[in-house]
Amino acid sequence: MNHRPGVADRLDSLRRRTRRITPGTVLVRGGAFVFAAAALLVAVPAGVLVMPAAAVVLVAGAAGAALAPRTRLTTIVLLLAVVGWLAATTAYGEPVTLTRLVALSSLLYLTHTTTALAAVLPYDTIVAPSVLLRWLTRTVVVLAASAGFAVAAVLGVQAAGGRAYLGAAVVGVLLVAALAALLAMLRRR
Amino acid sequence: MTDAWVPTRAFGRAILMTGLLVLVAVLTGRYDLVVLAAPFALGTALSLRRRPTSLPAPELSTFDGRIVEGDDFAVRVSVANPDPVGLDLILFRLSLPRWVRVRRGDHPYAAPADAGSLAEIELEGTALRWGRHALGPLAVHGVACDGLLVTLRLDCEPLPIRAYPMTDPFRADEAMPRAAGLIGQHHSRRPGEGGELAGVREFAPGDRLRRIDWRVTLRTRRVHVVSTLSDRDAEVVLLLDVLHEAGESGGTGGAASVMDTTVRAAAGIAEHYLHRGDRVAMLEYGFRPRRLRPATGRRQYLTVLEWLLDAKPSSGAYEQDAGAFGAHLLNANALVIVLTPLLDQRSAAMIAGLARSGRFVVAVDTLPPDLRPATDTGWGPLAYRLWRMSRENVVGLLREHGVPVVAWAGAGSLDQVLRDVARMATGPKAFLR
Repeated sequence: MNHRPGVADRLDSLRRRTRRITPGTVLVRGGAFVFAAAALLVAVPAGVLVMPAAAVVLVAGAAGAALAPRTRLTTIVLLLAVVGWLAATTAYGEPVTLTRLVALSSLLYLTHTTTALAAVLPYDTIVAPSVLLRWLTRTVVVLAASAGFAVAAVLGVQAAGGRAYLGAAVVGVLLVAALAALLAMLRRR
Repeated sequence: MTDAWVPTRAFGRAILMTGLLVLVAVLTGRYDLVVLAAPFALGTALSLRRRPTSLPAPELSTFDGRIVEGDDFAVRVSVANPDPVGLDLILFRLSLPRWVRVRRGDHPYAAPADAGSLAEIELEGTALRWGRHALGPLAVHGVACDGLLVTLRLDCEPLPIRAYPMTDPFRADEAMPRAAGLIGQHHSRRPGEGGELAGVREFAPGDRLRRIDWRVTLRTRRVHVVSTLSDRDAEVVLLLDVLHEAGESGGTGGAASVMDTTVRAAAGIAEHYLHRGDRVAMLEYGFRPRRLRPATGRRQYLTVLEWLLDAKPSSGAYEQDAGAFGAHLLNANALVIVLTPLLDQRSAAMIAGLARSGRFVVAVDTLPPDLRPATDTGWGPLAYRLWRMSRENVVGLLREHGVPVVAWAGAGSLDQVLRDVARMATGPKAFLR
């Protein structure tokens, strides 16, 4: 006879699982939640943020990415933030400022890399502090380089004036070529 | 790339985000999307710049492979990273057997693994019950390139832990029914070389000069010697009835099942008699009888402990072959101590058969006194009472056959029955062979 777990069993199981949660994984998943929520907050237009539904989507999306890092939820949240950014800077006419752009690019990458770490750590893992420190160091290096690139891009666009379209196309094509080369190299090895 | 290193979902996400953002940037001419794509591209490129090709090598070890149940032991989990590229982390999880508790051992661990280094973690555990336990396997995953690559699961062979039974304290002051041989600590009733004084008698050819009692010789003017009783050893056969297991084992400090009581009592009795210099043999009464030949000394004690580790209930529906188990396996002068829960008619018949064949048999009842079957049906209590009465009847019949049945109660629990058996051994015997 099949025994289907009742509500009490599920609650008991949840309570037991909660007791096993370790500080290291809470830190990582908490970071993923904060970064995802902040990315959405920075990207989505202010006019949309005042709507109650937006707050629900923001919290639910960030929580989903933090609690289920092995699913596609992180990708969806990242894409949602990009769509929000496009809407804010086109439909809502909000200006593209350096600060907001650097903040958003950093937060998107932080969300991505933090959920990548959370995905390989079960919720009850005892994490050595040096593991988190090493991860943080590498992330900071990437973010610093990206921020430098962002500053250069913004200044370059300002200097180029009306030829930003051409600049974006050239840099974009270069990036795509680099990406294709990277993938080809990975496949060869 | 080594097949064992596989890309994660994060790897696909990074490629997707970079490609999509750059594509939209090229199509719409928006440089800000290129800026958004930059960390993904840069991070992926930096992460994949150096990738590992070797796999982590896990190993489980302990200094305490042989312990007594209830004892603590240390387990060292070490995972080597032979690759010249450092890993982000090594994730490992240890599977624990039922009767082994390792402090915080049921959690997975994430440890750093630099290039060519060894990640080590020491865990402390306790064996909760006797037996052979397999600690593990140890499941290991390596994570590299900022979580973009992981290894498939790597398993390390389980680590065998031998937990010897905690010997129940046992002491028996009574003499053996029939001592044999010419060594040992039991005072026999035969004269010979020994320490127990039997009397003083006149010198006879063959007597040793050092046995001359000079005081009596001077007084009587005839040479007298001190005669002593010989010291003899004895053979003890511990017969373990493993047809059935009953009761719930709670490990050390908890409730004892039939097998727990049987194994711990056997270890205690064997230790006692081997310490006294007797020969101890072991025999299992189960579907496949096992036997340990009689021997003496500490080596035999260690062999007995090792032999007991493999004791497990082994019941079969068929009667045992008469050739496989019978009185012929037992020395005629041996004291046979049967550790049995008396749950099967075959056990009672076997004990009665041994008694009929003239063996000195003592039955030790190993059934837990607080054993209560599930009685959630209306007929449960009645059935339980009937079963108890039937069992008491079996015990009574065994006593009529001359087999004392005593409940195991640790030290001194067999003194009374051993005294009775020793007294019976001195009297005339009439039995069927």
